[in-house]
Amino acid sequence: MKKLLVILLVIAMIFSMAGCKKQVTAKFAEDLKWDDEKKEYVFEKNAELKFWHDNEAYATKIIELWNAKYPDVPLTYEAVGSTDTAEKMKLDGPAGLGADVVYIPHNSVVDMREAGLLFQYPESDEAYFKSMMQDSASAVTLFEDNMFAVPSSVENVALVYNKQILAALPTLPTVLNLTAANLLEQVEREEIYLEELFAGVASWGNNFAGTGADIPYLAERFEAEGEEGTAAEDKHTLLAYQLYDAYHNYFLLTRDGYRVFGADNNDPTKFDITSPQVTSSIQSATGDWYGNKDGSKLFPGLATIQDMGWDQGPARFQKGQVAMTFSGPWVISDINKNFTTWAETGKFGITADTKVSDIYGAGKIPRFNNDQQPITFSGVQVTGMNVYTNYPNAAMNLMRFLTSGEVMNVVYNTLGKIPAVQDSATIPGLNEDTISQGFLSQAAFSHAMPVIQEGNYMWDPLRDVWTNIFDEKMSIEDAQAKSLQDYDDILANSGKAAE
Amino acid sequence: MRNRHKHKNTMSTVERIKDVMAYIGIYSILIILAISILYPVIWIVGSAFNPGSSLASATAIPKHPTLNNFIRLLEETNYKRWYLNTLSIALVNMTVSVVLVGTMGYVFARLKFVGKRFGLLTILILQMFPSFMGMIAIYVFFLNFGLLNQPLALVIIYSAGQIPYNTWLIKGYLRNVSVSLDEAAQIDGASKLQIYTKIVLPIMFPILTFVAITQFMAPWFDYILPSFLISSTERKTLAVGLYELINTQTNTNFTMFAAGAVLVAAPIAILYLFLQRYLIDGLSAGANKE
Amino acid sequence: MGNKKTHKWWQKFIGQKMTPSGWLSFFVFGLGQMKNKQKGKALFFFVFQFVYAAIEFLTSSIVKPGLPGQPEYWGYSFFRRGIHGFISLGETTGGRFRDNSPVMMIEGIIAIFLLLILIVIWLMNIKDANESYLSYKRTGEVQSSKEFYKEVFEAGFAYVVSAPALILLMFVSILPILFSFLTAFTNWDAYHNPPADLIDWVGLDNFFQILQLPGWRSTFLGVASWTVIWAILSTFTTFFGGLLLATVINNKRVIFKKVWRTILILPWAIPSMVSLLVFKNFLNQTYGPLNRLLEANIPWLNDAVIAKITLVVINFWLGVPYFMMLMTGILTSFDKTIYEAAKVDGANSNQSFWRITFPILISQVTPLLIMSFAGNFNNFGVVFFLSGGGPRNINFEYANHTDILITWIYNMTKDFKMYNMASVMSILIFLLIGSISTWNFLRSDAFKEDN
Repeated sequence: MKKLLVILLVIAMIFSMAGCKKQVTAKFAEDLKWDDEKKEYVFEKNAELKFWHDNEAYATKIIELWNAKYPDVPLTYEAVGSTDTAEKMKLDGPAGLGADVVYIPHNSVVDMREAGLLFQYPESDEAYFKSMMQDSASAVTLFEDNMFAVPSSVENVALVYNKQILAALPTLPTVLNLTAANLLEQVEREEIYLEELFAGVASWGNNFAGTGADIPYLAERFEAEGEEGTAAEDKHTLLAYQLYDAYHNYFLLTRDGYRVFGADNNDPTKFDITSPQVTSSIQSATGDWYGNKDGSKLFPGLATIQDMGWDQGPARFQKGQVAMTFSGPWVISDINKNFTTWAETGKFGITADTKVSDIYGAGKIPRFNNDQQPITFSGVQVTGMNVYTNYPNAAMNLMRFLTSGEVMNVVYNTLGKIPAVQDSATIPGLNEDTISQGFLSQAAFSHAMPVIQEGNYMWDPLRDVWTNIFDEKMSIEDAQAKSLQDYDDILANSGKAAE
Repeated sequence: MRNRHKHKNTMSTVERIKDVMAYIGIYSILIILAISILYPVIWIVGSAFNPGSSLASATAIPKHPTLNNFIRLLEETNYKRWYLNTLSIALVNMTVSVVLVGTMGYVFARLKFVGKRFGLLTILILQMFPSFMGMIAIYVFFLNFGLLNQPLALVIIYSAGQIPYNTWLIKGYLRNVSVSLDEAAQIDGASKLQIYTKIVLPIMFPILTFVAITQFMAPWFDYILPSFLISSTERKTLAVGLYELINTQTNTNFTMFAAGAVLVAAPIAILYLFLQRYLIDGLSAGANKE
Repeated sequence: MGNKKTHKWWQKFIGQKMTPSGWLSFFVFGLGQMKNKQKGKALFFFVFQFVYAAIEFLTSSIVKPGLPGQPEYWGYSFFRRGIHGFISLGETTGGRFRDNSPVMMIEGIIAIFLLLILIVIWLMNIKDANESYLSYKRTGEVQSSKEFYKEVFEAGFAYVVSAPALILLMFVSILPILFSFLTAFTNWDAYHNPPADLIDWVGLDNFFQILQLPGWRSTFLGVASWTVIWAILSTFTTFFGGLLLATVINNKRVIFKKVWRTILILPWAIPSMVSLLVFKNFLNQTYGPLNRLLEANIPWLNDAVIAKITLVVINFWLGVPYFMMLMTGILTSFDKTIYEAAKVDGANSNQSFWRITFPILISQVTPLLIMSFAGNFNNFGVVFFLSGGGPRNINFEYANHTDILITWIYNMTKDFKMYNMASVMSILIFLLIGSISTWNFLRSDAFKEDN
């Protein structure tokens, strides 16, 4: 018996192998057929489409809309994390298992484009997509003037704050010397410089107790902690954000005109971290920290900046335990989720009539004291088309569908993201949404993350210029030099030198 | 118990003090360890009952415990489907592993043949190679054999991957059991297959139970392999589904994630509670057979 | 071959000498057996050749003609293309048809593996034909195929029943290892992105490059020494912890043994990723509940030394239940009569534990300990989820204080796509861990008595 089984197994193995022939042919632009009457590509016979996304509610909604429009073309989705997509597609794409259309963060565009996985759009489509989407967002999808992906939504960090807490706080001293009644007004009317805000928060020890103000519902804010708001601890944070992360703290370096990789952010020879502009920007942000290293004036209450990871800052802000943070629109989407429960339980005095924007606000990051606006990175979520798709015409139609106004509405309403459309007025509700407008006001002062290979190497050096100052107690110049050296090492090790 | 009392009656005072000290020592070790092990467990379980979605500032015993996470898990996700998928993979993997490992264990413990020593040693040592890119090779292998996106692929990986370790485990276990029965049977003219099924297999029962439990658990915890090898939504395993709850920027449902994990841990703990009897009684029975 | 020994090396493979039957089988599997009048056996061997030939034929361009513009070798059949691809690692880039170098390398290895299996069968087939022929000449009798199968099954029982497992292992274990190993000899890095770009064999270049860069050397030494310490500490703490718990619970004074055991295996039943994420939050220096509970400010994960201790302790928490369960099982399998004999000789329970139980136990579990050592050596999860390698060590490249070799490799591939360098490191790590383990194995009783 056993022997027979062995033989059968071997034979079965061998035949299954012979039976599985790979039918992968990379399709390119010449396969596309445009139907001028219908203003769409000619669907292949029996075309079926699949896309990858990480949000089930969004995907379901998209499929519903698609089926209403094209009932004959089945559309399915698979849940794949947008940051995993590039790696997964490298295997699934050539194997013929990849989705026809994928959603990726735009820094994955580099990766997937370099690996030759993204379809390069014909010029007519490029023009069409560019006409639909914001120029700054479209920029990240271009490489040598060819378009490899289409923007879907944009996001950038901005100042996000809790109005209840800020309204209870006294104003901070400012050279602008204007007439705000409390910190909320001071921030919203842009009557304070970033350096002054930092210094002021530091003077309070970065906690509510230090302000001496009565914070509304303070006890409630710490209920989950099992503390009745004893307010004696420095955990009641005024300002908390992910400093240990270059995406969130990049703006601090931009005060005196530094931009990573030059003016267009894509010149690999211009990392320039040692430039004097960076020195003076850091100097301005750290203030008198060098005179008082033991109690960090800039980030008081944090033993090391690594404690404020992604799982702490935004999460605590969402629970109402942090007054201000620098974060992206995603920090609000979780609040939206919990808001109805809060309204039911009357938490923080919220009633059924309360809107999220009554409690939370977003706006530009306060300008530097040289009147320059901090520049943030903007991130773009894009849709890309798999070059290995078996139905390029159908997939192109899906791409066009995904940039249409109705889908952009879903992006805004279901996903809670800001659509990358040219004109925000086309999205109902977007212009009235003060929180989204807050992010958009900072978006005007943001630039896309680099879309060159070296863009992947900049993150650690950009972050560690701060870590080296605060944790390793280096001088600013030493920290800059160290970051440059780290960057050069990565370049050398990654094979660039061997080219 | 009865024996102990009989013993006690004849004890001197010194012995009695010693006995009491032993009690205190043993129970203090147990209680300290149990507390240090249980405290974090309570935290993990407690975080599943916390309102909100993040682990930060979750508490062990939430003030307002809620079943919300469990309800959302069952209603908003395909949890039941994932659970069933994983359960079936776990059961098949358990069976296949026990069959494969049982024979391998017997062969390598009891039979003499050329290449045995270095064969198993080589495989074992080779397995220590930290192969990160190995995933790509496994992917291409399954692609060529038409097994990609098939739960069978996972069964093959889990059962084959653990063969060397489990073979040594069984080999070690069988060292404690004398070969006299095997030899007697061999003299009576039994074939190797008969010796294996009639004599060795019953002796191995407890250690195979152990192997079965560990192999049953593998698919519940692993998310890396299935996320590579299984792409269709309806075949997704539990670990992958759960991981997606926290993996993305828009999804940071840590408490739901913890709730899902608690639902995994409960049946495993219960399984162990009941299978203990086979593990322990069986083991002693095997030893007594000599 | 001018060697004058009675057994020439090739006699091992093809039998005493080549006979007419052997030559027939040399060309067509089973043909010699046919001549020897062993039909069943002949069919058995022939099936293999037939199946391989069928694959080669069915996948060739004769059956599946190539498409216009397709490179010629795309029409090659499975084995031919596999070997061609393995050597060339692809030739075309861009356009509709392009080669995916890593996949070609893997398919090449698969083809080579399958051919190796075929060669083994081929040699067996020749040897069998020769031997049957000679025994027929000697005795004038033919062994029937049925008898042959019976004999093979009994004599080669070990090989026959372990073959499926071994073949599985070959593809599931050896194939990925070989692929990782071979990547070290290619230029697969951030600037060679398959499938868009091809990768090429570069020989030992990567090894020379690593030797030339001082930063790598010091990082490797630093990370490797912590990895070894970590693996030793975590193996021994969990092992002795598990042993202690098992013996304590086995003590006759303990009541509700089952309940204790079930409580103590709970950490093992919770998926470790969840436990680790909860611990990470729990141990946060600034916000973590533990520091709040203790009213202290201990840098659990922020100080190089304390973070290392924390990792070992958490690993203990995760790993001790498994060893407790294993030890409980092994301890109860011990022959009670030894203890009774010892008791008669006046040994107390302490003595009998350390003098009798412990030595047997150690000799029995040494292989498992070595494997668990290797497992901890490559224990990715604990470091990755708990400390993420931190706190930062500015003197290391792509690694921090608590990074172990495996997480270091991960950093290299994940963020910087240095697949070639990561493979070089894998090989170095493997040489380290493999030699420690082999040395220990060879010295262990479990291995020695297997003569």
